[in-house]
Amino acid sequence: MLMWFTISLRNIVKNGRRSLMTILAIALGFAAINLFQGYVHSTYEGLTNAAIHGEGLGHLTVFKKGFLTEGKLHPEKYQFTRDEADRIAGLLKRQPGVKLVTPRLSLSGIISNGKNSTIFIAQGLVPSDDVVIRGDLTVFTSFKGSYLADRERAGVVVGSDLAEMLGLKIGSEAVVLSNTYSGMANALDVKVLGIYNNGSAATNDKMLLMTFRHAQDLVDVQGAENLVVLLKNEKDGKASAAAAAEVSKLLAGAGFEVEVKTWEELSVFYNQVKNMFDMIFLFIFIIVLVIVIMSVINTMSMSVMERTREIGTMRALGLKRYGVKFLFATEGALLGLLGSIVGSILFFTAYAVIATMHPTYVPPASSNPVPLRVDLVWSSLVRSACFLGMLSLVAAFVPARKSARMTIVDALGHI
Amino acid sequence: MNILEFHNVKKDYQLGETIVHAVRSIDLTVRKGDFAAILGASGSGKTTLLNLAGAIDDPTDGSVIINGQDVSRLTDNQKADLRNRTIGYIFQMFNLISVLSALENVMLSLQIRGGRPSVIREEAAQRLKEVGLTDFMHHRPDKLSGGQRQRVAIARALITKPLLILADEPTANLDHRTAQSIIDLMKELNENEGVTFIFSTHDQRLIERVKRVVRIDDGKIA
Repeated sequence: MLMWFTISLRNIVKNGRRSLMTILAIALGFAAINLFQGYVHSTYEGLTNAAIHGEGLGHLTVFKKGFLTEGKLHPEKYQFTRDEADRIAGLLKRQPGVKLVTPRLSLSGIISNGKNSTIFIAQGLVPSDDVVIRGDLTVFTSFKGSYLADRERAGVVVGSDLAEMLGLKIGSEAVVLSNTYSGMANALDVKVLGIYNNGSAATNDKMLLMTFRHAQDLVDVQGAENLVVLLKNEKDGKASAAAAAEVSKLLAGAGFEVEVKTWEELSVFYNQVKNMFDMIFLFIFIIVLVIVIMSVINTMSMSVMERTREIGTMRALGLKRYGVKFLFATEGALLGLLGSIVGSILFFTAYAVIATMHPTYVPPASSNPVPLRVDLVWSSLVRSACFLGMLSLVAAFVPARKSARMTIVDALGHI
Repeated sequence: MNILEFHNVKKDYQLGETIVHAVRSIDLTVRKGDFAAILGASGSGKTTLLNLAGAIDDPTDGSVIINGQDVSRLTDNQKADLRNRTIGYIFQMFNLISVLSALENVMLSLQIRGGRPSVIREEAAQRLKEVGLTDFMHHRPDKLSGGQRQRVAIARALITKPLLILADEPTANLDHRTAQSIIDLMKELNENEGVTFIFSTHDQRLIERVKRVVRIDDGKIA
């Protein structure tokens, strides 16, 4: 075994320039895959956090069954009554893994400053619960004024682009007009308590936050549209699917017909970005795959051709056909391994540069710059090294098979 | 005791649309301890005969019996084992592995067979000592002269203690003095250790030293 390893390694060194080209191709592929994987990992972590906390989705959302399909057209039929909402919340709060359950109400309408008007999209929420889910928004540098309070009945927080559009300032008064669930128009006076940039270019000019009670008053309902659940001790939002199944079972057992959705299912932005990144990763991966395979096959084909007489000699000495394949496969695997080692050096160099320079960029659908981060994902590094090693081994098999099939006489006579 | 037997052996090659009859109905017997030369003009079939004797080529017809085993009945892997255990090879161009030292080249046959590396290393060092190359055992082939390379090849052929050594033009690429020393070495091994040698050769110096000459002409034994 050691002899084959020695022969393989020495042949790699002997054909230094050629081997270096192949090793570099593998190394660049390794570094590219892992840098992108590290970037994607940090992005997914950020997006997960943004979805659960930033968007305020929490980990789970409980809807009345049918709400997601019919609720937009007939919201009145798919509301939880006050009693239902209280009972569901009570049941869930008693579960050991649940940190918080809070009611929500979404609505839209027209907001006017008396001279101009525009559409708004509002969320009616319980401010003290929202602070637990989303954190204190007032710590954001863009936040001006104060946040909502649980007992607030007329105050609102608006998006900075909406405020600018209507010339609203802290303390400004406005009127919000919406349809009630019974189809009547309803209008309420509101006072601007706070203004901030919600980070989404698409909604910052429409966003409005109001208390849950205020929203109930505007659309004239007693119940809630859905209940948001925040779990304790959940890392990265990964356990949500299992938790959703448990909550569904629990509520079904208590006689409630509900749909429980995870943040991952509800966050359109997260899924769009994840799908896009997954697709990009697949492209990069395929390109790297093709380059590595072609490089290794090319290098090994030349190696096989140059060593045909040597192989004939070894077969004459008693080396079996599979021994020939094994010899070249070892050389291929070594190229893959060396490529991964050099690739690791390239990766860690780039990782250190990024960690030191702290570059930022403005992602799509956002108005604020975010840091460009590459996470160190050890499992990805190990997996890539193993994969590229195996790929190189398999790629070496193609020319090795041809060499092994040759008759000894032909191999010995090869010039 | 017969080491090698050819019974009505034929070997044909396809060269484009032409069939070349390299060996035609040869009967041949080689006994243990023989020091024989196969003599013939270029293209007479010497190398083909040697290849058949070494089980690195298969006859088109007839049977080749090596140490009592009919080679045609063996699988590819069994032939590989037979070659490793029974036959040693010395090539005209030495055919040493360029990335291995002299010692490692000699170890190769035994490492193919399998065994403890330390034991094999010791054995290989001993063989190199017998051919006078102790001081060169860590040199790679490109740092050795032609004669030294051929000595390494001889040591490599001997390490498995084969019954038969086949040498294809072993002195063709050597100067006069070196060729003489190689011939002396092989003769010594034949006389002192009873190793059976079969050469294919044009070299008159070698022909004068062999016990037996087999003349081949146009694929037939003359």
